[in-house]
Amino acid sequence: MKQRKIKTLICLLAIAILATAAMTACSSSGKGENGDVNLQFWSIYPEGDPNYAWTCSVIDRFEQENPGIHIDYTGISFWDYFTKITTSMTDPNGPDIYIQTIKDNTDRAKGGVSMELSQFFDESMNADYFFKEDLIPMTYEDKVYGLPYALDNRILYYNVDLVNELSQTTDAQWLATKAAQLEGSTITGKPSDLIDKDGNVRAPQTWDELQAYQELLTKQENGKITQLGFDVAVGNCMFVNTVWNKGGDFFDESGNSTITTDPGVRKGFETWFNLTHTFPAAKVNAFLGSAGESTTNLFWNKSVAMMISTNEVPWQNDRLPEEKQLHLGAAPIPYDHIEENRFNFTGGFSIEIANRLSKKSKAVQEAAWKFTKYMCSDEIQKEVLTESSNMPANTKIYDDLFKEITDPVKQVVLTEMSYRKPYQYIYNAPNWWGEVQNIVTDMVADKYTVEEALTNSEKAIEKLKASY
Amino acid sequence: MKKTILHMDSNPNSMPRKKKKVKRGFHITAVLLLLIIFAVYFLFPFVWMLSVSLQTESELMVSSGFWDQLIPNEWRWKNYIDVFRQIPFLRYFFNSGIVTGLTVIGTTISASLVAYSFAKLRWPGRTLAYSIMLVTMMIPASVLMIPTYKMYSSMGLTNSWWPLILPAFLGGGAGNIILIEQFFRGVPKEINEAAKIDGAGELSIWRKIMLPLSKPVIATVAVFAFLFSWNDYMGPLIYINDSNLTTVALGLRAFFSQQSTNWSLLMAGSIISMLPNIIIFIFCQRYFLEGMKSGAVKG
Repeated sequence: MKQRKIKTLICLLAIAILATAAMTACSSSGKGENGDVNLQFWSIYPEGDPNYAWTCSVIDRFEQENPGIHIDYTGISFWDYFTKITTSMTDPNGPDIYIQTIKDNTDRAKGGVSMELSQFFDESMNADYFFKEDLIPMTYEDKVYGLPYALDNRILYYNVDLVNELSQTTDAQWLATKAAQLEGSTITGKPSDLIDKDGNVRAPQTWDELQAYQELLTKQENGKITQLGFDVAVGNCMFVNTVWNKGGDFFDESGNSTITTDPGVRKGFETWFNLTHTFPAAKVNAFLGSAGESTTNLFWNKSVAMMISTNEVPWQNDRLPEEKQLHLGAAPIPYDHIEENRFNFTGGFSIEIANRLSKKSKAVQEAAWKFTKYMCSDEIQKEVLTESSNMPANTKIYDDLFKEITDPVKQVVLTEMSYRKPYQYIYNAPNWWGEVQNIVTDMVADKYTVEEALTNSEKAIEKLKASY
Repeated sequence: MKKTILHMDSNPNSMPRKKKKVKRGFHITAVLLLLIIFAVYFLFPFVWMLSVSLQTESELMVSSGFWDQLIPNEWRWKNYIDVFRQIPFLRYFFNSGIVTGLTVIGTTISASLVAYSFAKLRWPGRTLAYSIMLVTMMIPASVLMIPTYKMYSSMGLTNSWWPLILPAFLGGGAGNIILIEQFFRGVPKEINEAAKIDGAGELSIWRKIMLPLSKPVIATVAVFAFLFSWNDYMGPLIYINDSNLTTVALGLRAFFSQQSTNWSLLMAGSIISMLPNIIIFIFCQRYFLEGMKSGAVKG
């Protein structure tokens, strides 16, 4: 009896194992038996993500327009995507076409991971369709190894109602405000200087004004902060912006570090230090700690008056119930009135083809290019904005977007697309900004002075280069 | 005199007895207070999870202040249904069940077999093999991640459950082997010898004598294997591409999107995915504690 039970158990086990073997997903790209081309496409929208259905509909439409090409879509959570794709790149079960980050495309080009795409360029799709600054990191030895697909930028957003409280102060207080006394400020002390054409208090236009607004818009009760004017930890404020907007750059054209020699870099570090030391750190951290899951919530629940964050904020505001929507304002990140220093930090995604396909037939390569081109077409790029809240990479549609989108806040977002700047790519120190970011964080925590932070940043970069 | 003394001691209102009672009462109160504090400390994250799972996304974004964030304005139980609508949660649950079930079966069978061979059999190289097994415990899993992936990739086993299940059938992990092996060592060798005299082979001894005796430790290993496999996130992330094969731990990541996180549904899904762990622990608690105790005594 017992033996029979054990035999039954072993049989069930064998069946389970066989069932599992049957669940092995067999996927392969290339031409099927009937001549159809099957391609694997990976992106950052898994099942359950708000953009999953849209991505599937794009693929369905492509397949309808291109019978004979079948796209097998795998969506992976954004926060796991880059870990996974790095390990899967050389796997036969890995993707044929994939979304990646623009900034390190050169690494993949050099490593033979991504296919060269300029061989396919023609009038319907070529380098002229994209912003120059996005193609630079995607060009290696004069050849392009991917197409920019979805971009971002950074904007100074503010709660118009909270900022307008500045206009309710007395004239005497206004005249005495710190803003009127700061270097580079355009506030002469007259209240009318601060009012824009809509009758609202305008956004700060210089970093010193931003600090003044930060101070003026911060409220305290019983020694605790109850409202903060601005903080770099709320939103997505990048320290590189303060450097660029002060006319500095971390490297010269040859890739040599200019951190300790460029006065703009020093001014940028000092600006960042000042912005993070307006109030005692303990008070600010206690206030930020009340945010819950994300410090950005403090802007949405009207506890923070201004933040620098990414492009999707106005679209996020639209999705809130009407009674919870903010009276939102937007302005360029302060650039001290020097147009050539008008930058906002940008990242972005590219769409690339695995170099593995260059060993497959021309039909497979052309099918992969067709899909890649389709994802960068005018129609799909407009949907990148409306569906995924990323900014389109295709510059040809921006004229239409300016006509169709009349909301002034969104217009600021569109305008600032022309002033984006990515991290400079340094081949032997590709993650230099991570090292410098750590040192800047330590500077904010008073572990280093500005001078020490500058020196240590340069040393860290030299160390990275030496160990490459 | 004795009678008088006894009479005095049995008086509940005598001073020494009263002092003892007060002292005892104070002691119990202090211990209870400490236990309550620890209970609140450990339970609070779960309370927070439950609270977040019953709120809406917009409520989470705009609420401020501790109590405002803790107590939902509108108790949205519908989130627990929305989890199943937003992602194929039932399919992920089912997948996790299969993978975990097979892992538990594989681990308990193979780990106990290996443990038996180390504990009861004498074979050339046994000591060396045991030492090598111990060394494998020192190697961080992250170091082995890429070579292991390469191995499965070259065998064509990626994008399947094989990399998640096979290790369970090939020893089941050094920690589990050692746990069972320690228990097996405590079983008197005379029992084995008596069984051999009766004509039992090694497999029969393992199956009919060692396994029944070691139920608590096997149950402990099964619970550990269950918990590890059910909560395993890294393995499915690396090896599985197809969403039809995705497990719960990986599937919940869909709520972390590029621009925002749907905390309400994430917490609701996390609470549902925790339930099997809690049920298993409640039912196997006895074996678990016995196994831990016997390991401690024998060790």
